[in-house]
Amino acid sequence: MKPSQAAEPDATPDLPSIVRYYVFIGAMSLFVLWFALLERGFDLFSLVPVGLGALGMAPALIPKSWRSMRVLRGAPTTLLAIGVIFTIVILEILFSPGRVSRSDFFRMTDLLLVTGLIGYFVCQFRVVTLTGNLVPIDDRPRADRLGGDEPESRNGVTAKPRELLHLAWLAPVCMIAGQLLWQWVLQSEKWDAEAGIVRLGISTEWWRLYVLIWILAVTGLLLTGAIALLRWHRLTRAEAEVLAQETLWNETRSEQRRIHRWLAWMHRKHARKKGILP
Amino acid sequence: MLTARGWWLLVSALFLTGVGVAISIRHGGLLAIAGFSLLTWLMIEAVQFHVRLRWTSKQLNLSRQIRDEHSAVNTLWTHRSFEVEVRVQSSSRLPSPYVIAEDRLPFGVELQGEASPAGTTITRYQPATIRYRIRCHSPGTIRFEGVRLRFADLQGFFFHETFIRQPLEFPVLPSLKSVDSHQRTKKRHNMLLPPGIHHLRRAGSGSELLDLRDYRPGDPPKMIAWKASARKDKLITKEFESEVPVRCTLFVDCSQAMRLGPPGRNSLSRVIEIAATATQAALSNRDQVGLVLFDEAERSYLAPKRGQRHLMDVLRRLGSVAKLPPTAPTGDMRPLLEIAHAFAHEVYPDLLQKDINHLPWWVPILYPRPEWLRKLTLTDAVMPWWRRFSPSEWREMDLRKRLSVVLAWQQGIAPGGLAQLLEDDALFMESLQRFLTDHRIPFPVPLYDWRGNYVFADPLKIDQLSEALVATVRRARDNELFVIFADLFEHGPHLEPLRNAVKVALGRHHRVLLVAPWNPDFPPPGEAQARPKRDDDVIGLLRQATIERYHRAFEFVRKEFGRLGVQVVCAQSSEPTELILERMEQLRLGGIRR
Repeated sequence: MKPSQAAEPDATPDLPSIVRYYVFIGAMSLFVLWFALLERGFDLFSLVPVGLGALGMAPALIPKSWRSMRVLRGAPTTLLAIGVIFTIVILEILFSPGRVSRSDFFRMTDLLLVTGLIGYFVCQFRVVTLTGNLVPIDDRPRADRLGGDEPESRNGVTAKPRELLHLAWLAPVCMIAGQLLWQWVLQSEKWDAEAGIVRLGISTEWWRLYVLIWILAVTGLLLTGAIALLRWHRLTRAEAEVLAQETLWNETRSEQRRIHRWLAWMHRKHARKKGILP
Repeated sequence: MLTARGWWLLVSALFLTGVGVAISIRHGGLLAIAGFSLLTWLMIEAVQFHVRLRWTSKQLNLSRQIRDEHSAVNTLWTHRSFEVEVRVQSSSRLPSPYVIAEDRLPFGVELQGEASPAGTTITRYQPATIRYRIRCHSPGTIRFEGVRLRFADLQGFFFHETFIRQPLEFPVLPSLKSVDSHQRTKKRHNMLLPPGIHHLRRAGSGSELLDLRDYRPGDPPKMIAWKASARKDKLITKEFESEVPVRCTLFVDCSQAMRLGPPGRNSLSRVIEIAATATQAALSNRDQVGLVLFDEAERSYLAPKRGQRHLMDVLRRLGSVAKLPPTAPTGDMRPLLEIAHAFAHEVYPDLLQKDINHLPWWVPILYPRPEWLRKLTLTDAVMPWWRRFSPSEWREMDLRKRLSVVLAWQQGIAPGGLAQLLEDDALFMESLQRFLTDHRIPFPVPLYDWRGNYVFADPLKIDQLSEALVATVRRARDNELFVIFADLFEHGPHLEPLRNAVKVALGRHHRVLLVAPWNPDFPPPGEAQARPKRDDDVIGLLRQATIERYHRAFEFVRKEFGRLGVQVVCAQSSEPTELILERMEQLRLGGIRR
């Protein structure tokens, strides 16, 4: 059967209302981001990441009836969004005025930047899934579609405005978590000899990087471990049976191989005698 | 599973955090904080997606309904449109992640129009519903495997594909045709016999006088013709005609040779179409129709009856064999492996996941299959070690191992069977063919064995047909019509038992008609065939040779049975149905005096 919905979610030329909301909030977030970058002292350069972000959202606003602009609708919006991060990094390295205050704890610029970034990314990627493709395209040929799957976008009609509330708690939580993690990195520098922990002569930059790697590694391990445990816990009966068979095969592979090769050889010999095989 | 979009954002966030921490001494922690915040967001989305996915995916269930214009149905008809409605429901308290539900269309079914959208978040109170219309073009059985579900978060960072398996088979019966018949179905005068009853010129208990003969002791007194007796001065007895129903028995060959070709366009489909039409025509005249299905191994018998229920029974039996694919004991494994893997990836994605079913990469290198278990290629002979590192060899081994796990699970093979499937090619082929047959997936089979002999010319089929014919003659009462739909082209030297059985049937005053199946791509006998345009057109020459051989085989069968007085017709033309009806008409009128 063909995909259960068309590539473009709505037959009507108008945008679903949820897309308009996301574009509006995304634009607001870009405005906040611009304000934060201005505050950081990037002046006119602050328009570069904001402009990239705006370009990423713009294709969603092109009406479907404008056939000549169809090429722009397929613009690589994900890459433009990722470009926002990289331009901010470049601007910070090249044009940053340096450390402004001694404390990094809950500074207004940081809060605005994080709010703007999170708000923009959430809106940008949700717009992409509403107007582009939501799931990866499986291009292997099928019996009923030789060209593989068609792009599947999210059904804008079933989207509820209440999912915007998700943003209301997500941005503050991420902001607070970012601040706390950063404080953890900073506080780790104070684990000096008085506390009985030796830094082995490692410079502060490298020490911070090691702490970062440690945080990421431990968090990653815990997260993937928890997800894997959840997976084992929620295996279906068929999956569990397959897993049991796989385990048995892995444990006794050599012995089984030896026995069954002899059996296969015997079957071939019989087939040759009967004339079924050459 | 993280999508490409998710990977891009994760790598960018890690880059942002790493650079932020690296330059934090001089530039402050702005970038690091932003990076940590993005990573936290990704982590929240990952946890939310996986918890909702794992919690709900096990508690999803499926319900399916097929409707015609009026109500839900369990049987489908060819050339008619039906609406399919599938509902995916959840019994979990948690809502599922966003899911795209897609029903897998059975093979040989045409989708009409577009399916209704089924992308939604499934909750306890909000199922995902898919609606679409289908149409079947050939009789048989269609199998709905289940629903493909693709889960994703709202940003498209995480993705998971699964399949809810709920195999359901529906018979597709040949459509009821309006057969142009001259027979009456209502009794118009009291002089006429009841519908379905006909005169037979044999002594019986009918009402029409057949003959007068001398009195034999034991004849009932009421049968004595007094006037004739007085005239002849001896006792004369009246003989009356029989009043019997006309019976027709159809012998349908369902052997492997008949199943060759694409489902719906092979010889068996055409034969079933003719048989179904003839059955409907005969039953509409209230004649009795029986059915014998046979192949190389077995046969089934349905006694001649009349009525709507019997018609449905006949059509159901015909439908059950209509889409059987052919199987062969040997053949090339690679194309089957590709077909089966593509199908399994669609229907059994959960059982092919790497974490529960994988082949260690070093196994084909350290433990390749020995030469005496493989088909030796030229590469093996020149560089015997090369195949250990050949990517195609490795891929084939990987596909085979992962499919073997699915086959072993699906066919209930004992745990040690997995290793056996990996080593024994014949067992694996048999298992693979059964897997594809069970799921109604057509696959290519070799027509000739390694000696060049036609694989599907099994003389056991002739024995089955002969025994079935003799057994039916034994059960038959009066003159009946036996219509044989059988592929006899490759059985030249083995036709003797069938000839004898036909002689027995003819000796008992029955009539026999032979309908030979025909390849729809070949011109019917008597029609001119197009010659290849160029002399070096090898395919064209081969095709021409095959057609000539086919025509010669048909002529041989026609002559063989023509000598016995049996007419042989080709199934490709519209002749058979009319001929069967004409023969039944002759049986009906056979006893009426003009």
